[in-house]
Amino acid sequence: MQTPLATAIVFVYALSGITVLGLLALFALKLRNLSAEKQARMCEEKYRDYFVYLQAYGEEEERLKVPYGEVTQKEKQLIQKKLFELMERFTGVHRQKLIQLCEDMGLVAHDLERLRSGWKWTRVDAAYNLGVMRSGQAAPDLLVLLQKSGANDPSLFIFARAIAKCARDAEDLRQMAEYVVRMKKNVHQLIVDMISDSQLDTTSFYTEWIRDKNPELVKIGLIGFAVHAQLELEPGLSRLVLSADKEVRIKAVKLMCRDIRYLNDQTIKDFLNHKDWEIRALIVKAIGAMQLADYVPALKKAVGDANWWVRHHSARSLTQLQAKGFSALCDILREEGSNPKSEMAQQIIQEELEKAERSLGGEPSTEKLLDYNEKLHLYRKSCKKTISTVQAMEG
Amino acid sequence: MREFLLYYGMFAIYYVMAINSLYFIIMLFSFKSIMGILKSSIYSRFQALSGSEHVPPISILVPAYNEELTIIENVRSLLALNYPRYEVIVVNDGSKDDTLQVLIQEFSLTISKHLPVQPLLHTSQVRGIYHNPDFPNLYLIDKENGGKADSLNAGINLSHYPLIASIDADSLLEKDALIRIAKVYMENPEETVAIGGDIRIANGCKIENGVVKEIRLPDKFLPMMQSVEYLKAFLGGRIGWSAINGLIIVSGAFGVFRKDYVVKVGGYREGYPGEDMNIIIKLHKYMLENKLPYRVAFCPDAVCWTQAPDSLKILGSQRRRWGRGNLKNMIEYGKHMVLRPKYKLFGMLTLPFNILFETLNPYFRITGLLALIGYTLLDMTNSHVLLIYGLLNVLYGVLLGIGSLLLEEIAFRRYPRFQDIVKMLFYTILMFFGYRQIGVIWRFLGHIEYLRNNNSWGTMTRTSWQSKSNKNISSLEA
Amino acid sequence: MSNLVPAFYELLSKMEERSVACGVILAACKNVSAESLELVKRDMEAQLKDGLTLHAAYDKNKQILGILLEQKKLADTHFYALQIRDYMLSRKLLTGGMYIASFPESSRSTAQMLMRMIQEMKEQSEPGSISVYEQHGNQRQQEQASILLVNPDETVNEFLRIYLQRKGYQITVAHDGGDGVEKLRQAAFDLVITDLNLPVLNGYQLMEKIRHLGQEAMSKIMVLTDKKLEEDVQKSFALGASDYMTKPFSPVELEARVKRLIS
Repeated sequence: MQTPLATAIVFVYALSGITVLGLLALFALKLRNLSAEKQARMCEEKYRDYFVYLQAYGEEEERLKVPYGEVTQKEKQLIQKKLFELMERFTGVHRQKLIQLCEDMGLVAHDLERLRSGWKWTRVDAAYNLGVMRSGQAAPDLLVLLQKSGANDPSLFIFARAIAKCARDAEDLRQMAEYVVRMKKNVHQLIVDMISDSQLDTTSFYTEWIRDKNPELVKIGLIGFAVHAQLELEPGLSRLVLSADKEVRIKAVKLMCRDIRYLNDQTIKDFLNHKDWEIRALIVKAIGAMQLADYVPALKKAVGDANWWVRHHSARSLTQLQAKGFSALCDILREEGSNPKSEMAQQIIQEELEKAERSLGGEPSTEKLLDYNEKLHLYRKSCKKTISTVQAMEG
Repeated sequence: MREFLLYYGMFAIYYVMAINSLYFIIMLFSFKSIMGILKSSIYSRFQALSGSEHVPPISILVPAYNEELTIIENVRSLLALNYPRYEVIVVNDGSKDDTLQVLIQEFSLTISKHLPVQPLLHTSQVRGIYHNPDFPNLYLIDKENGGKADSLNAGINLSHYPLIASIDADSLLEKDALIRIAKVYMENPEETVAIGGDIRIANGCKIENGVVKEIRLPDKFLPMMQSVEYLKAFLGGRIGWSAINGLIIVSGAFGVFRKDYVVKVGGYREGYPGEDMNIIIKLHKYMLENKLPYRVAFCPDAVCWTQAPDSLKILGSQRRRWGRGNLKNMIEYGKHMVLRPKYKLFGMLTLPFNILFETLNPYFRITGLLALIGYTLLDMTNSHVLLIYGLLNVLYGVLLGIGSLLLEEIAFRRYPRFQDIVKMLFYTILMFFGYRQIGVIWRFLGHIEYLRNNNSWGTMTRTSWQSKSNKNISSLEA
Repeated sequence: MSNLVPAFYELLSKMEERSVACGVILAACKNVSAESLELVKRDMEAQLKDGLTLHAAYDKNKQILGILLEQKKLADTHFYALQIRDYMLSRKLLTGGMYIASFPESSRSTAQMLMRMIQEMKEQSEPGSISVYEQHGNQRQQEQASILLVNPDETVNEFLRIYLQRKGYQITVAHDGGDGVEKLRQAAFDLVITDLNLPVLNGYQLMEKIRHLGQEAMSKIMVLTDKKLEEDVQKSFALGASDYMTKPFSPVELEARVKRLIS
């Protein structure tokens, strides 16, 4: 009995020891943080006029001058924080001059050195700083550090973002993107967001990446491509619709559905009969948005699709195609028995009538009145359902 | 007899050492991840991300029952989050008060009986859906009473986006809480099925316009205790568990899920007192059975403020419900998954841990304590055994408390003053002289209620910001 | 008149001939004798380094110390003024504020500039403050375009306040939508620059309120925000915004657009 009790007693002593250590660590940390805050406040006071100077003359030709007098390393880092605040919010010549100032103050050199430090988190800090300062010279080192990061390392994305900001050319960005997609699945959106930070002209290499062999780069290219309205047609898109990768197909179709020049009769037919429901949904949405009244019969058929979203968007698109579309929708009610197709038609019709009725509130224009009456008329004509539904609408 | 009591008492002591050592190890995992979390959070451009089109859209689901006093302020605050694209779906769960009317009036909502709803999950009767194009991302579902799980399912049916967030009607989200969680998701969208946020106690804080303007520790005794409790559980516990992918729960007060997987596991189970733990268990089960790589994550810098119960009566009701929920989950799901290698860490570590150290906790502790007391009364020579038992409990508890305060100080620092730390330490110690014990008893009472087939949610008394009985955090132990 | 003007006038005319810039700093200063003035001048030259050529003169009547910095434009002059101020404070020489300008940047006529500066120096009260000579300083406030800036970000607000004020605009700042509406009720503005994500009232609601204030009082609206989504752009324009800029932004670009909107 004594031994187990003795173990327990040993535990008690050990615990007390660790507790005391923990307490000391806690207080030490708290005090250090409080003193750091106080120092930061004092520094801010001291350099307040200097910061006013920086913000007032950001546009002039002359370089911004380094703060005068003795500036300690700590103060420099606090000033750096303030500079970063400005650099993250403002672009153009203001940012340029602030970057120059950072260089003049020796901050860039300091962080380049810290990038080779033995401590992991110092490297991460330095990487972030260099990213904000957009130092192209750091890019090679940052790429090396990136490629040493494991998939579960949170610093992976910090390095990636820093590279995006420092990138000197498309090659840097490509290397970053290739590594990140290899380590992490499905992060294309995040990569495009990171690349948007870069100062390079992104449209040109998104176009290049769309034609790349690596399907992951293609996806990134497609997303990036979609961000800005494109003036030129991209011939590679139609080929991508046939890709083996589903994501690529869907993204390519999405892009094509935004621009009517891509959609000829054959393409539309292909999409309507495509095996991917996402693509069918995209094309039926596009038909409505682009007012392609010729395809009302096709839309009508699509309201009977197996997938809920395709049915839903087809019916919606029909309501966008004025009388012709609406009457086709009502025809469905007449022709079909009780099945998902007519259910969807019914739902959308009711919603549309409700919307039209609501817009009659106040002083309706003649146009709106006509529109509402026409729709109601079409509905009643085709409605072989009980009168009570109609009464409910009027009631 | 004396011998037996002593042996049993020793066993209780070892039980306490084992349970606390495991907590300690989990806390070490928390420490391992904390620097990564800190750096990742300060070096992300949340401000810019909050306007980016690359962020996935989210449907926020807010089940509401008898919330007429606070629902407007909450909905307004939810509509003002820093997030690019999202919708707020309030589900009126057959409230007996004016929750519905108050919302309709405030936002000029009109009923649209025919908003298309995808019938993914079965729910109780939906009476109507309200909407106003002037507030394009606000929807109100009015339905018959069916409980919180049922309301969430109804919200899922209407939702238009691939991610859903389950939020309590009185959760006060920080403006960037949602975008922080979205970032965690975006860094691993393929595998992340659920992400939990950090819940903190709002009692004592200054709240204006739906925003926490000044953070202060609660003045009252009970909320202060809970404050320390939550800090230990979330920072010390959940960070560590999520690091090893063994997280058993994501708070219903603030959690984000992949809609498609929630639908695949059948949505939320109705009439369940612990449905937030339940959905996570189901998700683990589904992903492990289908051998899909996944993770259930925890994002400690995404903070949701909530009012804690400040009366023994309501706090007791809450803790009893937690006890019921825990037991029900373990009996219906845990039993099948525990100690089966198929379920990897979740089955081999999380579940046994939960069963032994949380569900069965009251039994060991109560009987152990009684045995030791009994033994001491019978034989004064080894009376220090009782003292050791007490010391172990208190010391471990204090150590874990200090650990979580350290984590807070390293990464989050939301309680800036020095005196706040002192106050929290004081309460950590104080916790072991009464508060813990009541907690254990409440849990035990919850079990009894369950076994007597009282599976309900308990009294849904909400009398505005003060009392809370429907807290959706089914487990907090440390 | 002050005996600064003749002292400097000669130098300034020489600069004018050589088309060289010259920075002018006036500081309210305690009495200094001619020798101490010489010492002060040499001290400053030593401290400021950079191979500066510095000329100093002192006006006993007005107790103003005048310093000329050869070949320095306004930006550098301001920077040196900071150092000079610290120096004077440490020697307990400074009795009031400081005024800086640069020729020919600030004004085409040196004499007029100097005289006006000296005059306005008297109106200065705050010790240690530095003011920049405004060419259009005489312009009454009503003639300046007024801008209401509604933004919760203090850094941006401070910057824009400094930057746009230098460009000659009058800036009022509101930190949230409610505050913005209040300020709109009190005064009319030529332009409102607003964020979309604001506490109390968001940007859209603010724009609606502006619409309701009526056509005559209607200010132009520019949106300055993080949100880059199509739907936000469309909605803003539908609610009456005339321009939409996303963050991070170029202040030069912003000012150009502001100018275009207001004129």
